[in-house]
Amino acid sequence: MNQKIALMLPAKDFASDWRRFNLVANYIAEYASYFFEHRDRAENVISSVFYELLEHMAAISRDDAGLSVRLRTQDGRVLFEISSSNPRPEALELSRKLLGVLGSADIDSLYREILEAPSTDQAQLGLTMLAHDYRARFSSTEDPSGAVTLLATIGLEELIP
Amino acid sequence: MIITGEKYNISYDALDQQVNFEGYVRTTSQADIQTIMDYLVDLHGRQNGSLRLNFRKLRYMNALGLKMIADFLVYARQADTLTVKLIGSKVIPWEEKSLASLKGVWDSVEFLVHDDHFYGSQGIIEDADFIPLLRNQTRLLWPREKPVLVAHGLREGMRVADICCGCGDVALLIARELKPGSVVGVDHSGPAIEHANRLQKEFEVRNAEFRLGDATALMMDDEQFDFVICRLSLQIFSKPEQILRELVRILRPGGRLYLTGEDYDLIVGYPNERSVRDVYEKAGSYGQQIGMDLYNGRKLYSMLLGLKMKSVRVDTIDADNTGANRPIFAEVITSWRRFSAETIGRELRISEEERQQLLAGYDAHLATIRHPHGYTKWSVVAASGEKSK
Repeated sequence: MNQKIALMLPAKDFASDWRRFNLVANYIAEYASYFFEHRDRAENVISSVFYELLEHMAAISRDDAGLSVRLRTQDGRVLFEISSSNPRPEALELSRKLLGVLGSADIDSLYREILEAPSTDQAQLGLTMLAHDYRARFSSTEDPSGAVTLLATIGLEELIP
Repeated sequence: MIITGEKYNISYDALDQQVNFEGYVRTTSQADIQTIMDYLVDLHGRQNGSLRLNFRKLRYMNALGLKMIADFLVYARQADTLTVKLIGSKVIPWEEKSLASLKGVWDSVEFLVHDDHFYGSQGIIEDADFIPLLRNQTRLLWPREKPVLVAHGLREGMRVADICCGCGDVALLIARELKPGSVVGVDHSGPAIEHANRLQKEFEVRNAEFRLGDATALMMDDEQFDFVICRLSLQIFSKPEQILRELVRILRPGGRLYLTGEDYDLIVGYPNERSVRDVYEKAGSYGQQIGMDLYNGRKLYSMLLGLKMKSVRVDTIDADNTGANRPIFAEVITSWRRFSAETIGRELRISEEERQQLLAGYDAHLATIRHPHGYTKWSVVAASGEKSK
């Protein structure tokens, strides 16, 4: 897949109706699935990953933020990119910490700990599940305007039976 | 009880002690999650042996949904009264990846990929035409037949025999829900009895047992049972009197013999009423050509009187497609369609034209069921009589 798909969406739409996470994740996944050999599998994986990323980024964004969503492949990996034009500083700080933990922790133990915990930190849950079940890797960049971009990548082999 | 969300249905199938998830569980609402959790905990408290959670028709589950399943597994681990089986499909990647991960919460959890190894012989059983047919029929009939069995005299503590029990679903439901002292199921099909024994063991139904046997020569003592059942089976034998003789022999004087039978004239549908009628007349006639009597329901009263039974009672068990029954009813007709056009059709070597006509007739019936205002009803005749003292 050399093609790229990109969408720009207002964060407040997700705040007003959470069903849009499902709608957007499925739309991108179905559209992009045609670029992959195992279409059904690609669709399910892409939708599952985008759903959690969208939830995470909507949760750290102010209502007036724009979310920019991109999907592409490069060097044997699928790249999921979501930018928020206006993140909430305190949520962004927590997100930075989480990405730091995901980059260094024993993911098996961390995920098990989260699953067994009596309460749920939704922001932590989704990304840790992706790191554990889809072997996703994460990085983020911030630009001078304050916008933040979360990049998640998974191996193309995750889309092959 | 069914839980219906924005994009999902969650229902319980008593035959398999199984919770079926369908659609998408991608809610961010803690209230929705709590409703599902409460449902699972309630079901957990009402089972023996094991509880299955079947995700094969669940296209997506978000991380919050997975956490809810993990919470349920933690609850089940602490309660330590049941085993829990998670059933997924290898064609749905999230299930393969994320359900398998839940084993980390409780290593006793079994994760079964249905398409791979969900029970060793299930492929044989479920590939056989008649097993899914029987199971779907039971799903549809059981809620209506249960009160009929009670009305015909089945009571707690009785010794019950279910002859020609198939894969044992009804015998197990009787054992669990009507609390007889014992239920002995007999069938001539090895895979069916294996299946029944496996479910009996898995669900720890201690008042049920299953045996391989010939209904015309039962290895059972005389006058051993209080209530003898033979459901939807006499119709497939060309000489039902040989079975009836055995059923009466094992029944104690004063006990009741309970029979159910088909009557294809009692299957109706609207719209497409003419096509629906035509296809069952044709299927009934094909059945007759291979020795099946698909109109034997109307003869049960005479059969019981012929056996010198007293206090003969006859009822119909009416299943229709209203409410939640619509998809199950469609599954039943799909099974009949396959059984009639493929299995019986092959046996009779019907022409391609005849086969296509038959398929078109069943398709018309399926269209009736799926029509938003369509109505169809399938009535089974239930009759019982008391053995003279």
